[in-house]
Amino acid sequence: MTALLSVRGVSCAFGGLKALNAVSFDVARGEILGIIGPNGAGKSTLFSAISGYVRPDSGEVLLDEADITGRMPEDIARRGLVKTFQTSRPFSSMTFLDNVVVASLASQKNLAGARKHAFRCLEQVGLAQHWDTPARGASTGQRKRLEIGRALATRPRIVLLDEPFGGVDFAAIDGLIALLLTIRDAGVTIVLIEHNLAAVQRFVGRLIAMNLGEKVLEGEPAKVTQDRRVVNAYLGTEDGEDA
Amino acid sequence: MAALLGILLVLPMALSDRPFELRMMVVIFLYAMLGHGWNILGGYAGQISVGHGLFFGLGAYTSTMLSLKLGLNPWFGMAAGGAAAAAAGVLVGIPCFRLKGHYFVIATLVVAESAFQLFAAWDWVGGAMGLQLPVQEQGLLNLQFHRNKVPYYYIALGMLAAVTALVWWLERSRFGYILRALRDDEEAARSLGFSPALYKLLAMALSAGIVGVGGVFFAQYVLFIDPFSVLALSFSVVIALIPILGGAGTVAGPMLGAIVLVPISEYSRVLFSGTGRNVDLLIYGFLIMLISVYRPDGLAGLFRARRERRAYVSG
Ligand SMILES: Nc1ncnc2c1ncn2[C@@H]1O[C@H](COP(=O)(O)OP(=O)(O)O)[C@@H](O)[C@H]1O
Ligand SMILES: [Mg+2]
Repeated sequence: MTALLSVRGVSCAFGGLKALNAVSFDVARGEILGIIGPNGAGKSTLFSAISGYVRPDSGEVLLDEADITGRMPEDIARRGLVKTFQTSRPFSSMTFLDNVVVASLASQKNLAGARKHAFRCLEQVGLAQHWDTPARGASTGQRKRLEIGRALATRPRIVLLDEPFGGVDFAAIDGLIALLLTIRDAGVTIVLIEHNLAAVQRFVGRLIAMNLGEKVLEGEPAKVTQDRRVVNAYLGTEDGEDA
Repeated sequence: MAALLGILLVLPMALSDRPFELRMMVVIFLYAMLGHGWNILGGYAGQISVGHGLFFGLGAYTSTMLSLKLGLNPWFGMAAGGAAAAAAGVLVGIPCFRLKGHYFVIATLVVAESAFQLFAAWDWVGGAMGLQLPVQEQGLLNLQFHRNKVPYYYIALGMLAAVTALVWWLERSRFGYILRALRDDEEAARSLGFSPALYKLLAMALSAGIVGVGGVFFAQYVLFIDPFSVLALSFSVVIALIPILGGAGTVAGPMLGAIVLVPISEYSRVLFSGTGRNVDLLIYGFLIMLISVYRPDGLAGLFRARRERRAYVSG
């Protein structure tokens, strides 16, 4: 079977800085793929290049064999590839529920149906009891989960999650991992960026390590996290690790 | 709600020999309707235009020219005026929506001012002299009433009621959700699959169309239009100030704003007639400063804050 997502030789430069240098990899249907790497490695830029927020200077991105390189983010989202933001972007004048209702309305026109679907998604990410809370006052952890709920509500085929554990308190991580596994089992392919190597090793099927805009390594989680190059890259920027 | 509507329905009986107050009520209804139109784009979709006078003027000029040159009925003119304004909205929106924030605001202002200059210099549409609508037999068919102006009151009230219902429905619709999402965070809305360009243009078309219909009503009401009365920049500012003062992005906002602002401008016109042309704008400016310091969400926010405090206490 062909890959659901195929990234081929994607490069991106900001001025003189090569944020991505000929990055290639495939994502199979139904897998959970982790992307690790120190700050500034180009992980978020990679997600932006795939999801249409940044136009690659060269290379191509295929979603289910269709070329989506350089398309608008909204077109790509409608084709079933939805990304979350590293710094969450809730609709701040709306409640948690309405944030997710908007997302449900991407996949259905009927408002009553969208509300029902949104509530189920909110339940899935564990925010149902806060449905009427204004998103403006949400904690960082709640925002992260809200954004995952919103992505789910669009009924995506594949989600790109940019640091979904960022700001989520330690005790909640197990719940979040269980959630990601449930989502995957429901047929959604997941690619996620994560800093917390210990957490990520527990549930991803495969890992890609990046550094300085390049893919350094790709393979089984245990192998990748123990590789000298990966360890060195992390040690070199230990202080850059963000919360 | 129903009581208020009841009062408004019988009010003309008390006003039939008070032309000043009757006129003021008509203007309140009209401006509230214009405010609703602006609010769809500015309040719900978050695209602040200070050029909506352009759409008002286009509506007024379209129906008036159709009547003068082709002898077409004003009700047809109303449909045509609304459609012309909506189309102009899309044409203005396509380039202007590429601009964000303050740049968008300035672009709408520049476009509206250019239209004013164009119409003031364009002889075919009467230039700076304006256009006089021919007096026709009065009645609903011709949308002209000469001796008794009460029918204008009911037509304006009816139009306001219809537009209020439309906005009320819109707020609860899929379209309304998408507009608010765009206003809150355009990038996040895109990530879910909504095209900002498409939905902003739809909002603009509806917004401009409503204001254009208001312009047609105005032309039929005063039977004379010129660039100063329908295309002036100060008028564009007033269309925006009404919902901003009343509460942008709320159904009540444009109506509250019109109830407060129209009397100020009507009475100041009497008080400072001749000398102080735009004293009302000064007062508006002062009110806007007050409201933005004490109640950034407008007068409607006052009511909402009270309700929320109650809910908080009881909950
Ligand atoms: N929009 C941008 N303009 C200029 N430089 C950028 C932009 N986005 C990212 N960069 C730079 O590209 C590099 C990679 O950033 P990023 O993809 O955010 O890394 P990561 O997500 O791995 O921490 C960094 O050096 C960053 O400063
Ligand atoms: Mg990043």
